[in-house]
Amino acid sequence: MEPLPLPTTLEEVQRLIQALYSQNTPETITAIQEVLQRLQKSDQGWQLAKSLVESPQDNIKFFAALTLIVKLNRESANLSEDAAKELLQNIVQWLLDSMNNGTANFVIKKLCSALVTHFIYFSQLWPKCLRQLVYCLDIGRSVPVEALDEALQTNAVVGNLDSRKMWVAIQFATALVEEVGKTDMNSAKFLQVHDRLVGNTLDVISLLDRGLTRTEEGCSQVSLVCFQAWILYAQRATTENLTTPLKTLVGPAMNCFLIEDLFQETAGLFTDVLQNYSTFFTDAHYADLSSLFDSQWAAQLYNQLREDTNDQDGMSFGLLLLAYGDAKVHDLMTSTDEVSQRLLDRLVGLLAANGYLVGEDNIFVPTLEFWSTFVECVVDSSFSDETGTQSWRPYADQHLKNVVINSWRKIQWPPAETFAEWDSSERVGFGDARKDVADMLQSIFTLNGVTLVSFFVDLFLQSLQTQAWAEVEGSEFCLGALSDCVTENPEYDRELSRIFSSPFFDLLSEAQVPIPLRLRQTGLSLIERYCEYFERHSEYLPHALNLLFAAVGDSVLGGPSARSISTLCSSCRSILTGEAAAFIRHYQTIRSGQVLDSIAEEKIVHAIASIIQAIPQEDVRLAMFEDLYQFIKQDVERAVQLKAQPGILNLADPNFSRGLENWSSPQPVPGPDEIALQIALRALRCLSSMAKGLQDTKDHVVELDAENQQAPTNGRLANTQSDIINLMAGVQSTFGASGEVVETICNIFRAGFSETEPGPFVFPAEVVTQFFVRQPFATPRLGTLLSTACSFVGSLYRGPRMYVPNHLAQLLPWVINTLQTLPEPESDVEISQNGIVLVDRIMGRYPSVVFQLQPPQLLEFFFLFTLKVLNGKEPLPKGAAADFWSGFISLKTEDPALQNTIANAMAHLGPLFARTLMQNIGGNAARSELDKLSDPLKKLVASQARAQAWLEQVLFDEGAFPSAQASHEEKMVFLKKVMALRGGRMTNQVVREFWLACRGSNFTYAS
Amino acid sequence: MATNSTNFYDLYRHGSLGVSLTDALDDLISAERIDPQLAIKVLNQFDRIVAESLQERVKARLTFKGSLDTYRFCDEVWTFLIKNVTFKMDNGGSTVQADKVKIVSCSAKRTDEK
Repeated sequence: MEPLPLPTTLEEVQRLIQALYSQNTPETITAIQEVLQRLQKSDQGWQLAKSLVESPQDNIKFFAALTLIVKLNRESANLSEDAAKELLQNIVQWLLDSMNNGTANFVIKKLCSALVTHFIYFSQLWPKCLRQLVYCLDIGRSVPVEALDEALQTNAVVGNLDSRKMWVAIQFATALVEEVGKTDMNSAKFLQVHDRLVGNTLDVISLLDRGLTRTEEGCSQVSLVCFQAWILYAQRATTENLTTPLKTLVGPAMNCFLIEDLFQETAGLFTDVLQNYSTFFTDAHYADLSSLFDSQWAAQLYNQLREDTNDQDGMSFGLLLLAYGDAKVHDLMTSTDEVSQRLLDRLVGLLAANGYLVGEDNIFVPTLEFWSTFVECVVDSSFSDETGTQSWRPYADQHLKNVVINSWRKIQWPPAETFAEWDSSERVGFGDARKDVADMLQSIFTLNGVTLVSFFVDLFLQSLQTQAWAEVEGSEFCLGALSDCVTENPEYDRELSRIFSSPFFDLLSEAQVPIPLRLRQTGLSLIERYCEYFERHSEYLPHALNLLFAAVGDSVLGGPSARSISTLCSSCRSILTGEAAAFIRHYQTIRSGQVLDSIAEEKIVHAIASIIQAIPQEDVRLAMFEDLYQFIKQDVERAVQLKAQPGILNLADPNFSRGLENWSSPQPVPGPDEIALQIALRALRCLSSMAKGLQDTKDHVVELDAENQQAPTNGRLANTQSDIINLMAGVQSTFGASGEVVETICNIFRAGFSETEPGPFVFPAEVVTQFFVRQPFATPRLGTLLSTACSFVGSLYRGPRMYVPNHLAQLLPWVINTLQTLPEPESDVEISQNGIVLVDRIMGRYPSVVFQLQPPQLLEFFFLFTLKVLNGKEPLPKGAAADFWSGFISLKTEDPALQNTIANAMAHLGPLFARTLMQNIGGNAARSELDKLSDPLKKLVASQARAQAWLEQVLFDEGAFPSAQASHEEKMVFLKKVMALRGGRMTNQVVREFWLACRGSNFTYAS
Repeated sequence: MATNSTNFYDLYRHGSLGVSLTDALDDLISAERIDPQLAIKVLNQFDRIVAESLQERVKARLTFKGSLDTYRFCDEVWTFLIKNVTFKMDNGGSTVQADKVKIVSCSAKRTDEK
C-alpha cells in the first residue's frame, strides 16, 4: 500500500484517528498509524495534541493524550522550565475538564499517564505531584505549583473529594507508581525521580486510607489495585520511608475481605503479597489473618470450596489460605496450638475436595505443592535440629498421614466411561498430578521409610479383598513410586513379599476375574520397578515372567511387558541361565503366531541375550546364542531373497508381514522392495539388541602388554563372528542406499567395542578396520561411520597395544581421503567434525602414525583443511578443529626425530594458524566459540617461543585483521596480557574482552 | 546472579539454548536488523520464560543415584558434585550413566522475595 499523504486540516486528522480505531484492513491501519506517528513527531505535535484534546469524541481525546506522551518522551529536553510548567497546568486542566464532561474512563487513565510522564521528566517542578493533583481536584481548577503552599493538609483535602474525584486521584497514584517503577532505579538519570516518588508516600496513604472505605464509583476496588502496585514497588525499593507507612493500610485492606463485592480483589492482593513479599506483613498482620481464617466467615468459604472448586470466591479463598500456609509453613509446622492445628486440618482437607483431579478439582495440585513444601520443611528440621525435642513432630506426622490417605484417594482412576469424556488436557493433567503425588511420597519416605511402604501394602491387601480395583491400582502406583527409595533391606523385602505372595500374580493374569486394563498396566510396571527384589527372591520370578510373557501379545500391554521382561531378565540373568532354551522356544512360539511390535520384539531378544550372556559354559552359551541368532539370520536371508525375487512376496505369511509394521490401512501397501528393507531393518535392530544383551555386566582385568588376539581361539566363536560380519555386509550390499541400515550396523559394532572378553560381537580389530576402510564416500551416514570409528579407536586404546599402530595406519588415510572428497569443508558437518576428531585421537596417542603418513600431501591437506574449518561458521567442526590444534601445539613425544618433525611443522604452520585464530578472536567468531578458541591460544602462548611474533603480525596487519574498531593500543594491551598470562585461565576473559572491543559497544549487552 | 531489572536469574543464558540465542542476537545486531537494547529485552524475556516454563510446563522428570563427592552452600547457591551417577528417565525407565555431574541450584525465590 502506498504511504498516505500528511493531512492538512484538523478535520482530516480527526477522520484518520476515527479510521484508526474503526474496523479496517491491517494494511490500512499500518498506513494510518505511520502517517499519524509522523504528525506526532513533527513540530506541530504539541499544537495538534492541544487541539485534539478539546474534541468531544473519546477516541480523539485518547489520541491527544497519547501524542502528549510521545512528545514528552521524545522532546522533553527541548522544553524550558516555564513551558513545562505551563504544559503541566494545561494537562491537569484537561484532566479536570474531561472528568467533568463525562469523558470515558480510558481517556482519563491516559491523561493520568501523560501527567506521570511529565512527572518522570520534570519531577523537580512538582515533587509533591499527588498533593498537587488532589488540591486541583478539590478546588476544581488547575493552579500553578506555587499555589500548593496555600492548600490544607492532604488528609483534609482528600476528605473533601467526592467519589469521582477520588477515583481520578487513585488512578493517577496507580499510574504514577507503575510508570516510575518501569524506569531503572539504579540509573543516575532516574534516581531523583524515584526519591521524589517515595516523597509522595504519605499523600498516597492519606488517599488510600479514605479510598479503601468508599465503595461508591468503585473507589475501594481501585484503591486495592493501587495499594498492590505500591507494595510491589516497595519490594524493589526496600526503603523504610515507603514500607512502614504502607503497612498502616493493611488493616483497612483486610476489612475489605468482609465486603462481598471486594472479596476477589482483596484476596488477590493478599495472595500476591503472601506469595511474593511475605516479609511485608508484620506478626500482628499474620495474627489478624489467622483469626480471620478461624472465623465462621472463613468456614463458610472453605465449605463452599470443598463442595465445588469452580466456585470463584471459594477458589480465591483456597489460594489465599495456601499462600498464607506457604508464608508461615515453618511456624505452622512447629506450633501445636489449636488454631494452627485447625488451619493445617483445613489444608489437609483441601486435598479431599469434591470431584476428580484437575478437570473438576482445581485446588488439589496447588494444595499438594504446599504439602510438598511442608514435608521438605519437616525433613530439614528433623535432620538439622539436633537439640530440640520436636514436640510438634507427632502432630506433623498425623497431618502427613492424612495427606497420604487423601492423595491416595485422589489419584485413583475414574471409571473408564468418565475418563473417556475428558479432553486431552484433563487427561494429561490427571497423569501429571499423579506424578506430583509420587514425588511427594518420595519425600515423605525420607521421614517414615518402612512405615509408609507397610501402609500401602496394607491398603493393597485390604482393597484386594474387597475387589476395589481403583484402590488396588492406587496402592500399586504408590508402592511403585517408592521403588527408587526402597533399599536392599530385609524389612522392606518382608513388606514387598506380602504383596508378591498374595494373589497378586493371579489377579494380573485374570485367572479368576477380569480386571481393568490400567490395573494390569500398573501391576506389570510394579514388577519392573522392583526387579532387584526378584533377584533376591527368585521364587517369585517364574510367576512374574510368565505373567509378562502372557501379556506380550496384547496391543496395549505388549510394549510395557516386553520392557519389564528385558529389565527383569537383565537383572536376574544369572538365576535364569537354566531357562535360556525355554525362553528361546517361547519366543519362537510367539513369533510364529503373530507379528510382534518391533520394539517389543527387540526387548525380548535383549532379555534372552542377557540370560545367554550369563551362561558360564562357553559351548552352551554359544549354542544358545546360535539358536537365537538363527531367527535373525533367517529374516535377513528372506529379506535379501525378496529383494532379488519380488514374486515370492506372500503377505499372509507372518514372516513377510513383519515388513508391514510402518504401514497403516489408508495408505497403499508398500512394494516388495520396501517390505524387504523393513524385514532386514527389524532383523538388524534385533541383532543390535542381542549385542547389547550380550554385554558383560562385570569388569575384567585388561593386560595392556599382552599379545593381541587377532582371532578368537574358539573356532566355533570365530565362525559365528564371521557369519555375523557376512550377514551385515550382505545387508549393506543389498540395501546400501538405506542410512538406517548403516546406522544399525554401527550400533552393532559399538556394542562390541566396550567388551573386554571374547564374544560373538567382539570382532577382531582387523575385521573392524577392514569394514571401515572399505566404505566409499558415497555410503549414506558416513558421518556416523566416522563417529563409530572414533569409538573403535577408543576401544583399541583400552586393549593390548601391540597391533594398534597398524590399525590406525590403515584408518588414517581412509579418513583423510574421505575429507578430501568433500566438495567444501562445511558441505557435510558430521563428516568434517568426526573426521577431525578421529585424526585428533590418533595423533594424541600415536603421533608417529600421523607424521609417517604416506603420501605426505595427505597430512598437508589435513592441516589446511582444519584451518579452513576454523575460518568457517559451523560450530561443531570448528570446535573439533580448535581441539585438534590445542592437541597439536602441545604435542610431546619421546622420539627426538619425531619431535623435530613436529617442530618443523609448527614453524611452517604457526603463522597460518595464528592468523586464523586472531581473525576469529578479532570478531569473526561467534561469542559462544570464544572459550573453545581460547584453548589453542593458551597452548600457543605457553609452548611456542615465536607465538608473540606470529600474533603481532596478524594483529597489526590491517589487511588481515578483521576489525577496525579495536585501536592500536587495545591490540597492544591484549597482546601483553595474553603473553603475561602464559596460558592461564584468565586468558578466556581477556579474549572475551578483546572480542568485544573488536566487535564494538553494540555487543556489550551480554556477558 | 539475578539480572538487575527482573526478578529472574540469568543463569540459563549459559545453557545451550541461551548461548545459541545470544549468537543469533549477535548476528542480527551485526546485520543491523535489531539494536542492542532490543537484544537486552529479548534476553530478559528469555530469563523469565525459561524460569516460568521450567516451573509450570515441564512435567518430565528423572531420578538419579550416585555418590555425593562434594557439596557446598554459598551465597544462596547450592552446588553438588556427584560421582558415578545413573540417571533414570521417566519414559520407559531408560538409564544414562555419567562419571561426574555438577548440580548448581538456586532458590526459586530470591532472598528479597522470601
